[in-house]
Amino acid sequence: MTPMYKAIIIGGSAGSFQVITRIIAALPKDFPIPVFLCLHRLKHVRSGFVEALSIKAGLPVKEPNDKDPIKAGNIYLAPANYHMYIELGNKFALSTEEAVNHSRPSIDLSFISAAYNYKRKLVGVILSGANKDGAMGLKKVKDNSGLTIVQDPAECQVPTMTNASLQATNVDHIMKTDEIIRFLLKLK
Amino acid sequence: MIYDIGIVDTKKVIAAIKETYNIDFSNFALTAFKRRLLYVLNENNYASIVDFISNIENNQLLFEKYLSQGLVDTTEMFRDPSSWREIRDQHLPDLYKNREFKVLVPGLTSGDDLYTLLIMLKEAGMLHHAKVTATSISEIRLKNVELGGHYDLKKMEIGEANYKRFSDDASLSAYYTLEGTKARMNRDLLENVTFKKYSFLVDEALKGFHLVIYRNRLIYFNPTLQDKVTEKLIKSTLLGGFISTGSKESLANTSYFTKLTCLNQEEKLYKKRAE
Repeated sequence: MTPMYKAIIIGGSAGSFQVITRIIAALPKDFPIPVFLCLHRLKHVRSGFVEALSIKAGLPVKEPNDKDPIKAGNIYLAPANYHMYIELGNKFALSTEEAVNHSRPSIDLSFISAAYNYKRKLVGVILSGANKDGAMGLKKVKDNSGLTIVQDPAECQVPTMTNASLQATNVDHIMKTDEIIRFLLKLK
Repeated sequence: MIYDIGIVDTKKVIAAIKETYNIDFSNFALTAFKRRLLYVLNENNYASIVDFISNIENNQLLFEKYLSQGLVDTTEMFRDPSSWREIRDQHLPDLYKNREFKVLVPGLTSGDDLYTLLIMLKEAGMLHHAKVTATSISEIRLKNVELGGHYDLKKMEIGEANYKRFSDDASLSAYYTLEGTKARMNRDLLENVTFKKYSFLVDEALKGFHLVIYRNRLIYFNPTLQDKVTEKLIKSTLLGGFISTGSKESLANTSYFTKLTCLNQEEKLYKKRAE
């Protein structure tokens, strides 16, 4: 059966690392939807992050090279100091354009390009974080009829990003980490 | 303020530029191309796509301005310092065996990579031994870089932080002077540099280079154009010469990879094979 959704995109910043590791640890090897992670990270530290995420993940975690094809069965992490776009033709495109919301990678830019490409076949998730990057992106997901989820601010270590997202758009679900995991697993 | 551009309007712009100036942007990576177009529209207060098209069609200076502003210029000096260290420590000694060697820096926008290269060469005592050719599609950009750039201090702070990871010996500030709130690079770095207007889209490959620095430019092209440009980069490089691309730009994705050996997968440094 073809899944209803073609991609899941998750954005997070301060306080999101443990949430992300729990989510990706729960995804089974045959999970049929590619997962994009856009997380704020130190721009000059290129190595270590993928390795740290890979420890718990059942699926391979990769930082794509520019124009790499998007394939199910992978978790893709936006590389340090690049914006990561989803480009026509189901490929990644990277960019060194200026930081947005003081961030490169910017969650907004990744979400906006994914929303444009996948429309209603996209699930967007915003987790704990200390700035508003991601709020505009999640709004675009919603505006393009995608499904939007925000981590329950009461559970977030830093709720700035989730609160900004809730203000920016009328999100579909506010969920705790366990609920997000159960929800994503049902998309299988 | 224009908030979004659709694909139809983007294609109209591309068609108009091709018709008027015979420059074909149709194989540029779409997301970044649209964002840059949106930036130029709003930066210059164009009322609409139609307004923009009629202005650039009828005024070459406005088109030149678009060419300049449309280029992404927000990379960094000494971005990925480990990559520059690799070139300095592993490959400059080989190049120096030629006594005189030629370096190509195509697709110049802000001049970050050019000045990084020149500082690296100067510190290695090789500035006088390298003949450097720097090219851009934009004359405005070439002129600006030739005059030492006009860089924000924030940019210089980022460059300084990168530079500290490249070299413990000195400070980036040794290579520029302040003019108010802007920095201008020392122009004595440029004595062996030739600036040349050049387009991968139209012009033949420039030939005979030992080292080609082309970092974080291929990302703005689609795979078709990446192939075409990679072919030209390889033609520009002498056998045994080196090509340096951005850390996430893999030439393994192109049709011409058989002509290259990847020397460092992390830093994306390539060597042209003997035929």
